[in-house]
Amino acid sequence: MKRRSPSPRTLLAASIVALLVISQLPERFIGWVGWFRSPLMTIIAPASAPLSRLSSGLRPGEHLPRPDTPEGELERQRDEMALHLLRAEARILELEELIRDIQGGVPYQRAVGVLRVEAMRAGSSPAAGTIEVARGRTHGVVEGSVAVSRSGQQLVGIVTSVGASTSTVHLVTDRRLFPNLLEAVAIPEVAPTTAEQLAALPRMQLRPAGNGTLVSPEVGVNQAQRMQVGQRVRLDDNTWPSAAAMLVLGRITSIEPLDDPLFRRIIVTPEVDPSGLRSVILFIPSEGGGGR
Amino acid sequence: MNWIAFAIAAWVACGLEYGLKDAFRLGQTPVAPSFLLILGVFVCLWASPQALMAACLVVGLLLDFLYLQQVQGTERWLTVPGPHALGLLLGGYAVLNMRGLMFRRNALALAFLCLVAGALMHIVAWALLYLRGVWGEPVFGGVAGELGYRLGSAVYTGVVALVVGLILSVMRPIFGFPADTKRGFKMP
Repeated sequence: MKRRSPSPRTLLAASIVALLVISQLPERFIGWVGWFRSPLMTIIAPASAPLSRLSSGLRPGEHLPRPDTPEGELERQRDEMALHLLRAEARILELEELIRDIQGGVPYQRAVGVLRVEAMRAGSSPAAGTIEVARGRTHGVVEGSVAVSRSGQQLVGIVTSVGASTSTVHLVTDRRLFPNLLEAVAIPEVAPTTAEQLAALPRMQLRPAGNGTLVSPEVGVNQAQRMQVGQRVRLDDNTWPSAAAMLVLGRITSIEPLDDPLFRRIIVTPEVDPSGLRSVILFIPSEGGGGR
Repeated sequence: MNWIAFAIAAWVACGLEYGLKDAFRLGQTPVAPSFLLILGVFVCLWASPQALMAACLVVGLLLDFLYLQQVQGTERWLTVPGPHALGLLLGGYAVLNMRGLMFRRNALALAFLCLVAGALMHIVAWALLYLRGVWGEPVFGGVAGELGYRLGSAVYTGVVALVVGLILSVMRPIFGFPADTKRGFKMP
């Protein structure tokens, strides 16, 4: 007997029911669906990457100093040295804490190395607050890798999803970043030269405001008085991967009084627009385990 | 319908959707046009009912796979297939019913239908994702704000469709729609 194939109407009804059910299934049942996104992104990337570069040109996120000008090169070297110095000071503080922990019986964990890889932007999703970059699992990218701008060591975001050849970076300015409280330290024009000076600098807890800035809603007036508009603010947060330590979050653009005279509101604006970058540098933990 | 032409057009639309969305967004808001939606509605204007439903499912699924959903309060991201596909299916059905009343060759018709289909798609997608959040993982916090952004994007898509529609109308013969391939009655 000849077998009848299902009619288009039946197929459509079955598809609707299947999609309706799948869309409501809990995460543990639809986790496998995410696998299909990776090949899809690989197919789409050749079309989206050039357009994404065009998009960065139309709406530039950063103005790179021309490498052939001596000012630009000096500026880059100064930023690099400042980062190394601040990281070294932060490391001293961390090691002092580690010694105390070891003396208290806490087991020692080896530090993780960092691999730097440049990644071109391949797309963006403004609604999700993410950008897609053209480096993935095959290039060694892992979840928890840190994305940094090419100029000025601006923290761009953190890799939250890794495909075969593309990765998704959740931008630091997105309100849904988790955890969305960033411990930061305001660095004066003359960088601190000792770990003690670094430890004594004014600190704040920043959260993304949703308009491209970071806000510390309540900073004690004593701390706020030691901050100035224009000061650079750097990340000093243990919940972030060590590769993100002392990266730039932005500059203080406003110190506003509140109804309560004991507190001030600090607004920090990133030096580059993380969503408009043409490419980023990924800081990848070289021994895996770049968790937060 | 020429499905190879549709596949190439969908690939280009995906590139535009994911590559140019940031350049077109309104200020710092996520309100941005959807090029895939424009392609979907364009196909709905001209294709046979059977082909347009299949095209709507494909375009909707592409949207679902392109945009990850973040589980609120975590850094876990999900691919949720269905919300946009079902939404666009409803939008496509609305276009199918309305296209007879429209002057289809006019770019304004495409723009208006993009607005209608986009609004329907986003309402369905928003409702399904919200429902999912009720008993599962919530994927957005501000319920009204999310719907507002989505409807804003539908309006913006309609505006952009005015320009994109002109390009698509030039390319229409490549798609091999029934209206372009069927010849009128002719005396032997």
